[in-house]
Amino acid sequence: MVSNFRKAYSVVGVVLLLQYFLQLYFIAAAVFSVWQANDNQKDVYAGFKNGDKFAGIHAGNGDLAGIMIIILVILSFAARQPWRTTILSGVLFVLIFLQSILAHTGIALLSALHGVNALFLIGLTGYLTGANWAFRRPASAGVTPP
Amino acid sequence: MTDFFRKAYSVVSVLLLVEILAQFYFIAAAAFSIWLAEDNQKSIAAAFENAGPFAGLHAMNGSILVPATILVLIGLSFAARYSWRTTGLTALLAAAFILQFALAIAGFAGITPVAGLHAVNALVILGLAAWTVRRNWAFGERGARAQAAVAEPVRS
Repeated sequence: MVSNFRKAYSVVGVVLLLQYFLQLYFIAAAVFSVWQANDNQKDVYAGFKNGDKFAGIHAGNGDLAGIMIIILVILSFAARQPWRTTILSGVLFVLIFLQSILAHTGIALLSALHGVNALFLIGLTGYLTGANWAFRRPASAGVTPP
Repeated sequence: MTDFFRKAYSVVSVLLLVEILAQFYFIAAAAFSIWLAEDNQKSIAAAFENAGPFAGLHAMNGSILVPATILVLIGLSFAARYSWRTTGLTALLAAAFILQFALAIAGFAGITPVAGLHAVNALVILGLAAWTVRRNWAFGERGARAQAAVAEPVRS
């Protein structure tokens, strides 16, 4: 049973990483929608409205990533992962909570840290997924070749 | 001398990481300048003007400093007599950067679905840059071990 939960932890870690890639993709698409517009009020606003659709998907997917992180924390308990892994999975939740706060500060220079914090989230998720990968072949120590 | 170039490689690769982090910060500042504005034509247009300097810093850092740093890093990987694998992966940074530039051009040309990959490729560049820092760190205990290994020929 523990083995299944460890596998589930790995799968959720990979799904989370894919969600992060999508987050970057959607927000870049949103930004380019504005910057490709001609430099006049009407076109910039039209570009913004077009980009807002991508920004909306970015926000929705971000909320979903928060839920996935909660699932990851629960799975780290269920899989009886080492405390270090469980605590670091909890840190992921703190980081995504901070990510949400940074997105709504109202101060662009402060909110911009949202982009840097995202990299910490991606790095830590990548580390936790890689370090606790449950689909490795067991080492064949002690097996003597025929 | 090789030791000096290996240390220089480490310092420059950290500098590259900082430049890439700054890229994420600048473009996020530009985006938030717009998305935090009121949703009407006048406010958005004014916010777009305010975001200009951040977008400009992103463009300048991305089109001058980052490629220059990558070129220096490639030169240093030769000078430090790193393995072909390390030099090849450092050169891969340059290839990823060229792709990054092409994706930005696609974005300005209005091919938004392709341009979105600009940010995903940025992550690839960041990952490669982080790898060069971690794998070839030339200071402290790891640096001393690597220096001892330099006594043996690295390239064939």
